[in-house]
Amino acid sequence: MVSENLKNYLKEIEKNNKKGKKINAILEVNPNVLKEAKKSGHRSVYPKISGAKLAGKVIAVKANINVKGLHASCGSKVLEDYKAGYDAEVIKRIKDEGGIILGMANCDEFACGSSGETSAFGPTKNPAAPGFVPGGSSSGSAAAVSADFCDLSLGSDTGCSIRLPASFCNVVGIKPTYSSVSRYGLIDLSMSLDQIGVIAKNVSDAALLLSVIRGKDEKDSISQESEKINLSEIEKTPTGITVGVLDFESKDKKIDDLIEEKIEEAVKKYGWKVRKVKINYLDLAIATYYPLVYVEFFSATRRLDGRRYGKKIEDAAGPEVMRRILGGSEISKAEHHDRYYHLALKAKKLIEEELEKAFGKVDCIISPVCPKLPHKIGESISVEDMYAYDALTIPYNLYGNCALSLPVGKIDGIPVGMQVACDKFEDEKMLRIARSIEKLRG
Amino acid sequence: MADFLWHKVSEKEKKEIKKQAKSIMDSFSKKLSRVDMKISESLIERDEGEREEKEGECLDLDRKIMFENAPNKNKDFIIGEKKSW
Repeated sequence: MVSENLKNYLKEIEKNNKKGKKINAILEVNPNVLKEAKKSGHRSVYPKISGAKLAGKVIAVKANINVKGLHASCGSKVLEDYKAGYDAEVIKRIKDEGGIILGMANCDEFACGSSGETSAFGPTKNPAAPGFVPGGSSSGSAAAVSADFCDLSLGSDTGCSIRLPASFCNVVGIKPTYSSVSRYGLIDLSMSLDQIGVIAKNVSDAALLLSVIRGKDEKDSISQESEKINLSEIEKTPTGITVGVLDFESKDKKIDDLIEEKIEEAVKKYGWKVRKVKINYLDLAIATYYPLVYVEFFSATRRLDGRRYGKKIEDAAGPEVMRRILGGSEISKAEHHDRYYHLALKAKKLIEEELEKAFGKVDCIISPVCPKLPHKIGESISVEDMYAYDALTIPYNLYGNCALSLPVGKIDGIPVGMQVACDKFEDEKMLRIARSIEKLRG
Repeated sequence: MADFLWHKVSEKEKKEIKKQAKSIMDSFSKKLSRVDMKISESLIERDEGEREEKEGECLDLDRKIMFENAPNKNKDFIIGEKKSW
C-alpha cells in the first residue's frame, strides 16, 4: 500500500513543478518511487512495529548526491546523462530507516552559486517569494520542501548552500558540524568545507532526518563519531544559557530589527542571558573562502575530462563554474605560492581561533542568515554582490561548527531566516535553542 | 555586472571571465595581506592520525551503469585517446 502522503506529493509535483507555478525544483522523479514505497510499505503502514525512523517520509535529494540509478547531474550539462552507480552513505542510511527517495532536486551548477540561478536546467523559482531568487546552491531542495513537493530534503552546504535557500524559501535548513555526516557519494565542490545537511518544514523534522544520516563512516576519511541526537530532548527548552548576538550591521536595517525582536521575545520568555559578540576578521570571511573554493573546485573537476562521465567540463559549463575553474587554475600556479591559497589557509586559521574563543563565552551565536533580501531572478548584479550573500554563513564553514536557518518572519512579503550557530558537535543544543524560538510562533 | 543565469560560454567570454576571476582574487588577496604571515595554516582535524586498515567492504557499484556513463568505450574498456591526457 502506497501512502496517501506520497500520492499527494506526486500530484503537486505534476501540477506545479514544470507546469502551473513552474517551480522547477525537481529535475527527476524517481521512476521507481511507487514500487520502492510499496516495498517498504509494511514500514509505512506499521511504523511503530518496524521502528523505522523515516517510515513513509518522502525525501528529495540535491542532484550532487549519488542515488543509485538516478541522475546526479549536479545541475549541469556536463553530467546530464550521468547515472549514479551506487548510493551515497546518507542515502543508504535513509533507505535503511524506511525513507522514500522521491527524486533529484535542482541546484546551482556543481553547487557554484548563492542564488539558484546557475543551473543548466533553468533557475528554481521561490515558492515563498514569487519572482525573487530562492537562494542557492541547494535551491531545489529548499523550494521542494517549501512548495510541498516532499516532507524533507537533502542539500549540501559549503558556504551558505543549505542555510541561504532555507532562509529565502521560509523553511528550516541545517548545516551540521563538519565531519559529523559522511560525504561519501557527494560530488564535491570544496572538500575541506563541504557538508551534507537537511532541509525540513520545522525543526523537529529536520532533527529527525539529521539523527538518521549522522555518524562516523569509514568511507569518508574525515568522518568522526559524534553523540547521538536525542529527539525527545529537542522539545525541552534549555535553561540558564547565554545567547550571543553577533555584532554586525546588515545592509537592510529591517532584517536586524526583526532578528533582535525575536531574540528579545525568546530571552524574555525563557530567562536566557544575552551578550553581544564581536568576531574579529569577520570582514575577511569572503576573501578567505573564495580562494579556497576556487582552488579546491578546480582540482576536483580535473576528473571531469569527458572520458568516464559525460562531457569535458570546460566545454559544457556555464559562466559561474567557468569563473571558478579558470580562476582556480590561475591562482594555483606554483608562481603564486603563498599569495592566494596558502594565505587564505592562514586567514582561515585566524577566523577559526576567533570563533573558538567566542563559543567559549556563549552557548550560541545568533544573526540573520543573510544581511540582505534576495534579488529578482535574472536581475544583473556584480560578482562581489553575489558573493556577499554568504558573509554571515561562510565563517561557520571555515570553523566547521554547526549552524541552522530558522524562519522568523517576513519583510515586504519576503521570508527572513535567523541563523543559530553552536560550537562543533553541539548540534543537539543548537536544535533545542532553535526549537524553543520556533515555539514562539505558536 | 553579471547575469548569473546559465548560458553557453563562448571562447571570447572565457577570456573575459578569466581576467575577471583573477581581478577578484587579487582584490581578495590584497584584503588578506593584513593577516599575520607568521601564523600556521589551518589543518583538517582528524580524531586519529592514521586510519586503521580493516578488511574493507565490497562496494555495491553497478558495473552496467558505470559503463553506460562512459561516452567512449569498447566492451570492457573505457577509451582514453592517446596523447591528449
